[in-house]
Amino acid sequence: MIQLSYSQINRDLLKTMEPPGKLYYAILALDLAVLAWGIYAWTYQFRTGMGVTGLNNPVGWGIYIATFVFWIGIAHSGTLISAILFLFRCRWRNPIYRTAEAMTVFAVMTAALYPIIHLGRPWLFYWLLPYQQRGHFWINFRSPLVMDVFAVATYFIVSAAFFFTGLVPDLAVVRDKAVGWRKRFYTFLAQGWEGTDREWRHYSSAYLLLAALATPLVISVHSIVSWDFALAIVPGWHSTIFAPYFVAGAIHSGLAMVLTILIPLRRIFRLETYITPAHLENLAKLIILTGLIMGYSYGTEFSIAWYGGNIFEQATFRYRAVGDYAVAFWIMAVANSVVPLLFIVKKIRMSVPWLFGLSLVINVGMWCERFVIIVASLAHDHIPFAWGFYRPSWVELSVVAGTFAWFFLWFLLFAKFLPVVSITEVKELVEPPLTGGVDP
Amino acid sequence: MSRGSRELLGIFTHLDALLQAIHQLRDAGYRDAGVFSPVPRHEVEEALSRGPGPVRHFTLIGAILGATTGFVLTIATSLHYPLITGGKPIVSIPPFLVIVFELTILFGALATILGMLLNIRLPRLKLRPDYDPRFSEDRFGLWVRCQEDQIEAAQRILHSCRADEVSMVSLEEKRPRLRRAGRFILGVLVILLGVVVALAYLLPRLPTTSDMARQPSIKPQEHPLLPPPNSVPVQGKERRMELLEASEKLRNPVKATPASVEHGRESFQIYCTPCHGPDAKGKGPIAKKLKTPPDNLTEESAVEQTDGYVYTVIGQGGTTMPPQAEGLPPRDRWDVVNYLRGLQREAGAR
Amino acid sequence: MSYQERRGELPVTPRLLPRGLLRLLWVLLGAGVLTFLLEATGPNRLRAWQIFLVNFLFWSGMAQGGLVFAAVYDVVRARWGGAVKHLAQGLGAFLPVSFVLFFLLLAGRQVLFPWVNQPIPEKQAWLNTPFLFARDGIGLSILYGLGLASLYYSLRVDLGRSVTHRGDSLPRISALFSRGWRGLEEEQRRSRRVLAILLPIFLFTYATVFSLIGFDLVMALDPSWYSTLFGAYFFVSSFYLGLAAIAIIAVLARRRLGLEEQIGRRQFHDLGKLIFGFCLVAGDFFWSQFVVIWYGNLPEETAYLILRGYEMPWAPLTWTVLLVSFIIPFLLLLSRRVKESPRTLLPIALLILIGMWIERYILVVPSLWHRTGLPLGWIELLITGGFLAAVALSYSAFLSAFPVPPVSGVSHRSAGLPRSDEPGRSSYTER
Repeated sequence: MIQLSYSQINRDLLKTMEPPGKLYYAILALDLAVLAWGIYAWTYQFRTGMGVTGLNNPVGWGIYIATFVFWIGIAHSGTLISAILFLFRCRWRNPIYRTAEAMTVFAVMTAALYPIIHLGRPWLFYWLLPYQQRGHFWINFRSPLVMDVFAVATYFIVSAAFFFTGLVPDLAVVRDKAVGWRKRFYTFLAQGWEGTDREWRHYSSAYLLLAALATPLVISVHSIVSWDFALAIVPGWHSTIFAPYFVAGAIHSGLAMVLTILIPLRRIFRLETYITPAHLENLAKLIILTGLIMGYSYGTEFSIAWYGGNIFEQATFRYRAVGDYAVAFWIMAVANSVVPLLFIVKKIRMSVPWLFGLSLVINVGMWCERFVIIVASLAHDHIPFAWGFYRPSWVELSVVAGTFAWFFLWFLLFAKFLPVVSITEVKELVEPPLTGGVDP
Repeated sequence: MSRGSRELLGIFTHLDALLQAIHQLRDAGYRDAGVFSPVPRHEVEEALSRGPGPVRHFTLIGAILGATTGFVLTIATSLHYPLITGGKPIVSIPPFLVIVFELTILFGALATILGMLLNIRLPRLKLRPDYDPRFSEDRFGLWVRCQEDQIEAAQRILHSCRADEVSMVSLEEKRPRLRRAGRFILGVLVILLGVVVALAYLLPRLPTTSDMARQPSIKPQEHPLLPPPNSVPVQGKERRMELLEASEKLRNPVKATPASVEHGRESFQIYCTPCHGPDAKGKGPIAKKLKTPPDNLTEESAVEQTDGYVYTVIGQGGTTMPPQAEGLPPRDRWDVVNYLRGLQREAGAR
Repeated sequence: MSYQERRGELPVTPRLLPRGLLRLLWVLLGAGVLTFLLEATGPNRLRAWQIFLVNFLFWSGMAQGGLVFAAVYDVVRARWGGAVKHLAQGLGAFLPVSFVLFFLLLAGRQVLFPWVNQPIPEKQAWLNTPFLFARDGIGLSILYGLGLASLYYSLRVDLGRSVTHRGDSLPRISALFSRGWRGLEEEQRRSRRVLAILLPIFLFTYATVFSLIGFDLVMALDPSWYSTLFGAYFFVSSFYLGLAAIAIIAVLARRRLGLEEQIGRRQFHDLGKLIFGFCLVAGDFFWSQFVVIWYGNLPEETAYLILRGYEMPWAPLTWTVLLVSFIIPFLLLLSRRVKESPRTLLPIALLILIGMWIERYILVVPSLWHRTGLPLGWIELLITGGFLAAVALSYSAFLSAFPVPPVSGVSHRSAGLPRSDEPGRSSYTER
């Protein structure tokens, strides 16, 4: 880390919160427009019924659930960067962890919309909560969908708590520099943080403990989401590798999304000194690793499908490769396991345009993977009599677009109301001011 | 904080100067001291030699509470209303372990945050009087509290360690606002708890009914909602025709191209062969179990029927034959007709 | 200032094992070999061969785990325990032996592999002797080759440092390593360049080849059963038991070799954290397989688990594994104090190793042993002892040839100000 003084860091990183220009408002307006369109589409579905979607027999889970899994996956690498890399003492995570953790919180908030969106009677969503219903029975704790409720709720609460905890010292920084209504706002948010040794001590302790708790949580959440599929005996779903395969895939797509977000962010806010090419390169290297895991998983599933001799399993794999959804399948196979290997070439992973472009490709590939796993298996189940075809309707596509807008809306607000790079943690990276050293 | 005690605040720019001051103050016996800093520094912690914090105990207790809650919630409720789902045991430990795991982490994390907040006495509405906004930017602060007579010596130490500023701070009495904030938070928590309890009590008592006569379905003389396009039936709408009418009026719109015949063959194999057999002679694997044997479709009587007749029978069914309209869209049915004609020709030719 | 001057007098290449123990190990090795040779063709040949396979998998996994640890350590550019890394590398000395022993499995194939005498037509293309031994043999050659190659490049530099800093004299075998020595700086640079390419390939090869070994040598023993996660579970649990072995060696070797400075609380804490972490990962992989099979309740999948978890005589062993390898280490390793102290870390690591040996046993033997009773007696004890002796002896030979290199810079925590060459540390890292 190059030598920067604390006050320089303060100045640079607080600049991101200055009143925005026209471009920001233009993007915000576009985002709100897409969001409004998505809300309209969903209320249409709400009033008219699920028939306006393409969902039917046999494919009852379509792009709503695919995108749900996609968003939960994205959330995972935020926690990887903020919690797991913290436990491994990777210093390079410091400037990027705030954005990554924000991505986690917003991604979980986006994903949490889907269990309600995809319900036929959304006003009954509270039936998923653990309470005693009429007739003295409770929710079915054996169901992986109920496990989902616990997992996603826990993940949201813990991530939000972790996110906010890490924010507090920075909020104090903002508070001390703010004036007017902002000062009151951030004074409230900063909760009275003063940076005493006592506060830092307990804060550091809590931070470490939260990171240690978040790590198994992250692995469990996407494992549980994968078990939504693996615990059923649908061919193509019932596979023991699903849990680690989904977790690796989640981190894979999440890292790509972090790149997609960080690259414009650092450009717009001129944070190139803080989010250096080395950071992006490290993310790219992690993507190579997760890409290899994806390739391993695809290879293993395919090989064991043959080895196991289960004709339904074999038929499903054949259908995926050459059937109705073959295009999505091949996008998935190439974008997730072959394209990341391009990052082995140093020139590619040091080039910002390449990083951005490939991160988009990987995200598309990962979404396609969720889609293929869910839809192709449902469309082509055990009995040929029950085979069908699913195509998403305009309602579904609009709602999905709306949820993407929802995610980016929170990001736009985050960028202006909170410091996108953790001021305190960047200060921890540089040399402290010593007599005879760098002058603050 | 007793009467007669004073507080001294030194502001430092450089970390090593601060550490030096801390060491000297501790050596001189000043115990009631603390540091403001913009970042956590382990050197400061070590210099002040405080032990590992108590926050981790909160975590442990929270985790144990979570695990217990998980077990009790899942096992007690399953036993309260034993319902077999999926053929699994009433007390199914594997899925319950997952719930336990999640609750362990949830309660552990919340307890950690609670522990942290309690220990640093946050949230607080008002800052300390000795707080300087520069402490969040780039300055360190060292405060020391001592009796009136020890102030001089402390001041000298701070100056000798090259503090930028040294000032006396007036101490207030125990801040009542601290208590107020604490009570406020507690009040909010109690209200939240009350809301949760109230909900748990009220929700099951919502005016739902288990009287199955009261349904949200369409009643006689009520106007139904039209089904959304493409929802019912599976593909497109079709006018239902009587068999006689269809037999005379319905013409085959699909030319018997090789593609159509091939597609018809596939559909025939899926939908028709169980009863009619692969050669359409009525000797499918199910045929021997049926009281009324399926028709031999290559017989004269079947060959004579029009395309429209065959199409309608496929879609609407026959005396024993179930309707195949759900699985075979209209287009596919015509393809089956085309294929069947081909089969009939072959059988007739032989 | 040379290392020696700084450290005072230090015995050059102290012996890890006292002479008496070495002699005992040779006897143990002899006994094991003899028992195996005698029983492998007799009426007890199934017992001999199955325990041979169990031990082959266990000890090769451990040996490989040592190299994998060293590789990961270098790939992530860790700096907390160079001495521990070297001690881990020593486990790789068993690999050439393991390689030979793999081909010895050919001799026992009719006893071990059910598909040899009763080929399964659908799987015959995959499960036949020539193809299986060819692919696994080639896989192991590549894997072991890569491992030993990375060991070579790593040891070269370490040896150079030992000679440069301590004036160590090299036994003959290590002299081979220092052929064409170009000076410490140049060698370090070259080694880093080569390893930057070699190590990631080695790690990926480990994952794939060990998965293959898991599928071929363990899962295929019950050819009607399959689990897609089995390969990954196999290589992860092998690494887990390798870590436990490294911890045991670190504790035992520390005193004998005078490594107290280099292996202290910080190193044990980190090792303990790694073991804790992989306890969770291996446990998670174990669980992922269990929960999917439990839910699906498909007889072709559950038979494997029911046999091991609910039928005698295997059930007590399975539950022992669960308790001893996963639950107890998880609970105990939560505490920082337990991780940091060699006195507490050693028994836990030992428990894990014993548990994982039983785990390998419970994976292999129930698929093969269809008679009554539990095949665990003198034959098993002596053959296992022989393997243990082989590993210990090869390890000892390694350490004699390649002493633990001195560490450049001091590894314990700074008591005062941060130094310019230290990565800036915050209070987080000291906990």
